[in-house]
Amino acid sequence: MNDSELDNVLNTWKAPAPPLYLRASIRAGYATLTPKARRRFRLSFWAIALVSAAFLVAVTAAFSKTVNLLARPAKIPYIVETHTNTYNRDGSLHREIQMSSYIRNGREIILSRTPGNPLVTFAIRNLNAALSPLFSRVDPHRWAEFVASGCSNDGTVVGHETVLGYRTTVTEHLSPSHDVGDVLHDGRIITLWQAPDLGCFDLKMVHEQQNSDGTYRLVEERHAFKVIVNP
Amino acid sequence: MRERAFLQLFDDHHAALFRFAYRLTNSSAEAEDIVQECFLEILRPGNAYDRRRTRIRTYLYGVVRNQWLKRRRNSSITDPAPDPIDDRSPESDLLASEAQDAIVQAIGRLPDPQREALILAHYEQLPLAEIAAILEIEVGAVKSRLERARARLRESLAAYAPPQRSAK
Repeated sequence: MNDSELDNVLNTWKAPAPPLYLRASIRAGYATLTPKARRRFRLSFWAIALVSAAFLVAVTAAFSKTVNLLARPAKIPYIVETHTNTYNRDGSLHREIQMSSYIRNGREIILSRTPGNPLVTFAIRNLNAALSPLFSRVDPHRWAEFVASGCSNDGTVVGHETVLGYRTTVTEHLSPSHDVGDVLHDGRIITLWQAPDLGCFDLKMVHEQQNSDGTYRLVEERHAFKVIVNP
Repeated sequence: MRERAFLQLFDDHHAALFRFAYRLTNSSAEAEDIVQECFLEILRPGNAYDRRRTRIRTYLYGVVRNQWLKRRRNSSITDPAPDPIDDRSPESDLLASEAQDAIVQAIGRLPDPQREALILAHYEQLPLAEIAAILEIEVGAVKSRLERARARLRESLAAYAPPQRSAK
């Protein structure tokens, strides 16, 4: 069989004509495909939104306390501006820090800190505010009880003083020197001036550490110099 | 793409694409599906057609071919039963149908690369360069596939060659 003969044989295989309805079918496909894609996108969008909303509702129901704390914009009841000095062993000044902060559920929330990188301060402030309710070891109920007691059921009450117009309870927290493994930890005394009206914020704090001869040296002191209520 | 332009494109190319799909699949139903899928492919956002690089006809043949290959991969059935031949007169019926069945079977037995090259070259009369573009191979490879396909068909369809005229 030569090429021409093969071609003649092959030519006897006729393909049918495409059906007439194919055009209508394609036209219908055109009419539906684009809106269909749009509809599909819209459906997907709403489906995702619905699932997300359901998930949020479920999480809220399961962890209502935590979510409330996170979701609700934290209303800052007051801001205390404090000045803190830390001292070296020889008594010289080591560092000065100025902070704006307040107490929420027993946790001090730092709003600003000087000196410090503004970005780091911003990060600390926001992370602190967002995460402290989750990771704070302070039991809010116990803290509420502490505030209700006039800041007096922890440590030894040594008196009451007024600082910046706020009545404070002065408590001493004594921690004797003790061994932890091979390390001897110095004894320390922390004295706090805590204001019940400010959620037991310590408007003044003195931290002293015990020397080897039994005397105490100043390690850190802080005092508030301004209180802003409902900032 | 506007509907008018889309339908014009369909009118220009669907008959050839249907023929090509029909000869690849040997089924009108399959060919319809493939052609439909081929045209709807153009409407899909992000389709690969680039008018600066490829002629639309070449692209469409390529889509048909890919659809066919995809269907073959997804189906365990290699070839569907051929469509019945129903538009022939009783007199020519037997011989024509017999010859056509033989051709369909012979082409169907060709390896896929030879089969698609043969259909595009012989039945669609496309130039070798365009076939090469559709099959994404070199022109030399198209030629070689065609030669092998035709050699096989010569053997398998020898019985259907027209009888040699004796010299008077």
